[in-house]
Amino acid sequence: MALVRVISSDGAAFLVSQRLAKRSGKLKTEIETFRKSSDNSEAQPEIRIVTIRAEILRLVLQWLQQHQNDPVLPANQNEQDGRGDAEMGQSQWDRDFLAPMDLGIVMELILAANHLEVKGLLDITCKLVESKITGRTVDEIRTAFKLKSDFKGNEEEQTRLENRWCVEN
Amino acid sequence: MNESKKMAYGEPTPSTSSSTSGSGAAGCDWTSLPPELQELILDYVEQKQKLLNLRLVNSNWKRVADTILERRTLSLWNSWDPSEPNDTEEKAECIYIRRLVYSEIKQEHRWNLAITSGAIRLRPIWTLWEHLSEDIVPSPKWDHYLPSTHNPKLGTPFPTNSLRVRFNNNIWPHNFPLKLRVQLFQAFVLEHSSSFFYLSSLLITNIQLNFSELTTILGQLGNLKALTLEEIQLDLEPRELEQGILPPLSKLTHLRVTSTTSNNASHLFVNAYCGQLISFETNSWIPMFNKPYQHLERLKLIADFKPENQFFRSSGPEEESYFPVLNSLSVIIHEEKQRFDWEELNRSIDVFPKTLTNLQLNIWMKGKNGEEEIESLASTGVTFPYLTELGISLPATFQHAECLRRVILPKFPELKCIYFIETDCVLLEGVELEEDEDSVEARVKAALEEMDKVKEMVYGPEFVPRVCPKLETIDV
Repeated sequence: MALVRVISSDGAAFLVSQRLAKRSGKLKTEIETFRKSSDNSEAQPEIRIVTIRAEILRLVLQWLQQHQNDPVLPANQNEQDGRGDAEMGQSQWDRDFLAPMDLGIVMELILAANHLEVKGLLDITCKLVESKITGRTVDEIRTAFKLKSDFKGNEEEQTRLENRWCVEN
Repeated sequence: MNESKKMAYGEPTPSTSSSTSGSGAAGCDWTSLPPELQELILDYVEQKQKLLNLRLVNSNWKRVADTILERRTLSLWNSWDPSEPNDTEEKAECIYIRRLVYSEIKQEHRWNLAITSGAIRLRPIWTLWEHLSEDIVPSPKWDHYLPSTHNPKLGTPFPTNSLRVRFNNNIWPHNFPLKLRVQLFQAFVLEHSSSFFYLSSLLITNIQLNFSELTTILGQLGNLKALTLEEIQLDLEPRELEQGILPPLSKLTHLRVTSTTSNNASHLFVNAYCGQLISFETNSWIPMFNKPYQHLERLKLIADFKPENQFFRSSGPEEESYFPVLNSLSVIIHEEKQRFDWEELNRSIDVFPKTLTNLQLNIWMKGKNGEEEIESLASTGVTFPYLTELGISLPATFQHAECLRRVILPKFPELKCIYFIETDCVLLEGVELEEDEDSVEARVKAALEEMDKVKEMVYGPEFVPRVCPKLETIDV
């Protein structure tokens, strides 16, 4: 079986089947580039992902492994909705997979899924963040995302007034 | 199989993995996400009210939410809807209801955006007309005020960058002079011009304007990308119509103008903006043969132009270059006096740009053709190599169906999807007024029966698929 070596930013190497790796758009391109530039067709490609650390890379590969038989979601499935089929991949396994992660890890995973072009993972992680937003008050959101209001003077009140414009009647 | 599973992802090889533990970098925070990912994430928040709430978190979230709100509003102009729009007030109401139904079934947030984004109700300034007593002030619910200050750093006071101004008749007191409405609005625009400058889309309905009012209002809208003027009554001097110059709106790409006056008001807009438009929809259009539409992708023309004036029809093949990228065209002609015959339709289609991928012909056809006429109809051999979607009026008679199959369909060898547009108008030619009711009724009945049989036939597997082998869908 053809393998590929994927190396994280902190130097951890993962040995992965090429079939699995190619479910990431980014890795697929990298493998193909390697093939074209390499004289030896048997050589094992080695890909460095300088922006993703081992812990996160492992999570991505773990998710890919679990979903290796899913149909690949097209990158920009629906221009108008901007999101694919959110139901897809929202399995019990996914929920268990995401459950222990804190928001920081989820956001790092979003960065990684985006970089590696793994649409399905991007979709469920974004959905998770969304679920942490809706139903919360502004203060709760600030706490959850470790954000501070940078509004000055009456700017927040101003924004509140502006919002009224969007509500009919 | 077992082995491949084991191999699919491995433990980090021991060589260099020491740095993973205790790195302390437990996740990243919101601010380290690039703006496009921030937008992607918050775009998962579907309800507009919730997005509005996110504007209160901080200035970064406000900016991201505003970007999403603006994009969603603009998508109302970006998406292609070939069907017939409202062109009378009565129909406007009808569309209103239809859209509501549509969205309740499909996506509620669409509807909310469609009709309520940045909605503004102008409350007349009653003190100016002291003879109007307070008790006829319709309702305090329109009593919104524009936020009085404006901070450019934080964006616009219109969260969606969109404004919809409906001059509903029912918000004005009885006998309120029509002319005063627009003067109020014009004063409002001028007073808040710095805010209007930020608008990217504007929809105005039911308004009467003259040239100077139109230019004054448009002149404040330097960032406008999408403009709808619906049911406007433009009072233009012939000189203004011919030579009037509208203010430049360099970002304007989507335009809808439906005018209630017959003076071909869209001439003005075509003159000013045709070279930059991506989509254009109008119910009155003077063809202009010296104006290229380099960027126009979607064009929708509704009724009331005469067939002999039709833009495409009177142009030769060399005119195609005026529409180099047009991919969607919808032509809607529902005029009793302008019914097409098949020869006319045949020739009209031939001069449409060959770049089309989507064509919608919602046209009323003439009744029975003579036998010879049908015989002499021949396919012209002109084909549309990219056209995959066709909408066409459902043939009313067997003759029509035959014309469609023999002459029209062969133009579209790549057709994948055909929509038959049903009309409720029954063709009854040669019915005399003095004919007795029974015989008219019998003829209506016969016509309806024939329509039903034709319908069955065209939906059958033999009809369209035989001519267009790539057909996948037949739909209403």
